[in-house]
Amino acid sequence: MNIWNWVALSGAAVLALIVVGAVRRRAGASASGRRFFRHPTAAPGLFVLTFFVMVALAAPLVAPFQPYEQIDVDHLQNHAPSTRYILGTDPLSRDVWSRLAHGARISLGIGALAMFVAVTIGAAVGATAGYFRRWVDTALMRLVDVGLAMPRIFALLVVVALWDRIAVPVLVLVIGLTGWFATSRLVRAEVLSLREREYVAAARALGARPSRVIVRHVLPNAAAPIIVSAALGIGNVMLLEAGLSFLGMGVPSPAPSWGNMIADGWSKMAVAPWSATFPGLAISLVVMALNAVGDALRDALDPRKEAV
Amino acid sequence: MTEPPEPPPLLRVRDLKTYFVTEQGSGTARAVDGVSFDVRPGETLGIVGESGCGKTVTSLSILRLIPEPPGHIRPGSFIEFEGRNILTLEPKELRAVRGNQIAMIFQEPMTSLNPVFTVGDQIAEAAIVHQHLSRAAARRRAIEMLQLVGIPDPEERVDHYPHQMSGGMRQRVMIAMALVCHPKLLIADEPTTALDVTIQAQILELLERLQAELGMAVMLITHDLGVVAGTADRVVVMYAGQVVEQASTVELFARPLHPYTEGLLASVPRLDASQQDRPRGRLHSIPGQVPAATAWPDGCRFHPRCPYAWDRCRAEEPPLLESGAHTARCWLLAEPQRRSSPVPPPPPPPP
Amino acid sequence: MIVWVVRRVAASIAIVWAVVTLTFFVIHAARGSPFLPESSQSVDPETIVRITNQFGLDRPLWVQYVLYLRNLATGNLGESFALRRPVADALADAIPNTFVLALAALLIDFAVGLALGIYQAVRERSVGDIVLGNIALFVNSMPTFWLGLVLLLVFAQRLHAFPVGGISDPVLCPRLDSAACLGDFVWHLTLPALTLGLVGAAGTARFQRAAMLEVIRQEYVRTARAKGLQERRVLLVHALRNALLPFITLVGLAFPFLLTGAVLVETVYAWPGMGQLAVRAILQRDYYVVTGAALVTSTMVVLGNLIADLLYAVADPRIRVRGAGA
Repeated sequence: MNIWNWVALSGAAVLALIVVGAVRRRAGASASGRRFFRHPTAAPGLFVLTFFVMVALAAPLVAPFQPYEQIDVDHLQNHAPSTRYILGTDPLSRDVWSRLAHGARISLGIGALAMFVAVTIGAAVGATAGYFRRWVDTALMRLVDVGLAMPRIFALLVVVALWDRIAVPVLVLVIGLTGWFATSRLVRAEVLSLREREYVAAARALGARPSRVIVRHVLPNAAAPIIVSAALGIGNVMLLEAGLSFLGMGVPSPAPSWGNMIADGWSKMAVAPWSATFPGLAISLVVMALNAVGDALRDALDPRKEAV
Repeated sequence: MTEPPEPPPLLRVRDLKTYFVTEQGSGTARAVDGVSFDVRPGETLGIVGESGCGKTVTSLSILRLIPEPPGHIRPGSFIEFEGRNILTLEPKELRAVRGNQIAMIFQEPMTSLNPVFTVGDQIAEAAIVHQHLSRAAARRRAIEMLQLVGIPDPEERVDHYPHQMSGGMRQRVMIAMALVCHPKLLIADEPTTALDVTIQAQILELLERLQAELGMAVMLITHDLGVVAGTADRVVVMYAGQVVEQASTVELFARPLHPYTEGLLASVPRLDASQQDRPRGRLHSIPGQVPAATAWPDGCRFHPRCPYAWDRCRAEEPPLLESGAHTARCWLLAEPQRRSSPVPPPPPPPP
Repeated sequence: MIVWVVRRVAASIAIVWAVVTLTFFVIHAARGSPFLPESSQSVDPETIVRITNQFGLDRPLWVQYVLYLRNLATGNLGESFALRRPVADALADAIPNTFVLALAALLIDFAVGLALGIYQAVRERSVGDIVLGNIALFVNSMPTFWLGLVLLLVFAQRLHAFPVGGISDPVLCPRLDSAACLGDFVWHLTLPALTLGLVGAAGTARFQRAAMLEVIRQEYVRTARAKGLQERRVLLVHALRNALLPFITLVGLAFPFLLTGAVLVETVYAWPGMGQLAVRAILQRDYYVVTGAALVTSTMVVLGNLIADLLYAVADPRIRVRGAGA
């Protein structure tokens, strides 16, 4: 790591602090915002997330080497952490920190995008099932039951087998397509209860089309559980992607993802643990931050907790 | 001829203060702020007030059921039961008092009964813990108690769960549970508020009957003056964490001294009120709202809502002033001439 | 009640059938086939003939599907090309290993998780609660397989306290036939079970803490105190009995979690269970092993849910005994 990398890294940290401070100030104005920050882990979680996002965005600035660059295949394989190679090098003599920083883009990106796909599909299916009920509901919910009956990683492994080398966008879609089931159940439950409220009946009496009623009246109120499950779900997706990549079925080498970095470093774990340990630590920290933020969001958005 | 000496009071509460720490940083909520009263053996004491006046916190404080953060009973408070200081009891001694010497029933019988245990088990538990009965003997006691509180088919009902019973029956079960050890004092916190009117009457009647049979004292907490009128011997009126009036029931209804009590009595709609009593034909209500416990008004706490209030009321907090056995926390007792100032319609006589 | 059970069982069978069907078609559509010359293993021609006859490899896919179902009904799950043995045998060897691992992990998960969650709730906001809560949060956020790698590194490779993998010592105990070999088996089981169990325990602790706190706030807990009961009884009898109800739903969720985790943990520790079998089969396009594994796993998941629902119905008197209108 040279001096510019350190500057960029510190800049990322400072920026993250500023962002968290600004969010905190804005949140102080509303009761739910204050409830959010009452959790002692909410602010640190938000900081960790923001920091890693900054690192991902500024990867070329904080990383001294290219992620694919094999620095010196003869002499620098499995080099221990030092001032030059701050997290050491992996079995193919690539700088671990550089791959970690670039890998953040892929791992975080897959997490967010796949979750977005899953939440969108889940909300659409759940809202439709809850709103129309009867056979539509039964059919869709049977589908959900089938989806939940197979452990997700199994389903993923089987589907991913359809490709020899899966492209990252396709991976995002596939993960999203296997992950919407729980969200749909949640949304359906919300919709079922909201459906009976007066403003929905009023909208229908005015002749609004069902899609309009769902989108404009029902979904905004169902937003709270969706947001919470999205926050918690991103962590799940990241763990899944790591698992898939670890088995060799996820993000294909040489593109760095935190998961396949663990796979690459696994064989040399006994003598050079750093190349497998640090990516795992990064995943743990980010997922931990996501869990903390998700928990705080759940309390903040819980309508039952209005008064002290 | 000298009067026979009165028996010592069963319960003596002096200067009870229970404060709560609020999370928002809005300061300390002084829910109960210097409350004193007695409960004599065998009597029914009614404690009346709107929600937010501190009556429930008072009753919970007596059994030390206030959750310790965020609440605490301030030092300087004094609660004595049968000559023993409740506030200094060891945990073991306190447990021997709870459910045994002093029992409590709560407002919502559905949420106050454990849904996963049978009614019989919950009644028997107190007998097993305090009187060391065997399970079989305790079960028999439970059936006896169910019969005592007027539940039909007690041998069957004893194995039912709370959700299998109606609201009125559940409240009877709570009463049975509270009385199984024949406590000397029963604290009833809004026992009928959650029930239908006809059931209310039944429960109150039941309490009266049991009180006579068991010779116990009852502290009846309610916001409903009608409940108090029918069953209480003496009444304590609470407002803003303080006692604002204390008198026998008859006295209170005939000659309310505190403007708040006047207002409460006037607010009860009556079918036999004539047009002269109600010139504008509207229901009377006390203007304004109960203030927040974190910010009691200066001076007399009722002054913002009082039709008689003058400078002294805004500046100085009145102590409890006496008029015979009848006390009220109001400067009007010191300056009765001010009563002729703008007044609400005179309250109608009690039933 | 009986009607409900019958309906659930019928639905469960339908779900398993759907999963197997989907798996069948998807895996057959996968690129690469075990019969192509470039595939890694050579399948002996006798096997090819036999399978072609039984499963119609030369017929259109939907015919193959029908033949597969027909064979399934007679208990013929097909043959594994890679292992050269019937799928049913391979599964029969692998399932108990996964089962034992899952059971051991479950025990650790529930014992540690429940105790921790209850302790945290009772001592809410104490130092212990906060510290343990954060540790649980961290452990629950780890990739399971990564924890496996770390435990392997520290306890097996550095400290030599546990073996580096496998299910038994191949030289001394090729079969489980003595008390000493049982000990050897447990010694091999420890790290994988701990890996799966601890991550699960962290999640269980977080969940149970919340459930317990919710119950402690209820009014019937205050009633129990007002009766003069000991605090310990109030918490462990009155409160806990209610807090265990949501815990039962966790039991239902445990199956899918364990099966998922098992896939990766078995790979890390070279534990010869179903997870490892299935992963290899998918990579090698060993069709019938894959569909067989799908059958078994979905059955276990669905069974787990069924058991959890039954347990819940039995444990909650509000469901077990129908109430009078309140």
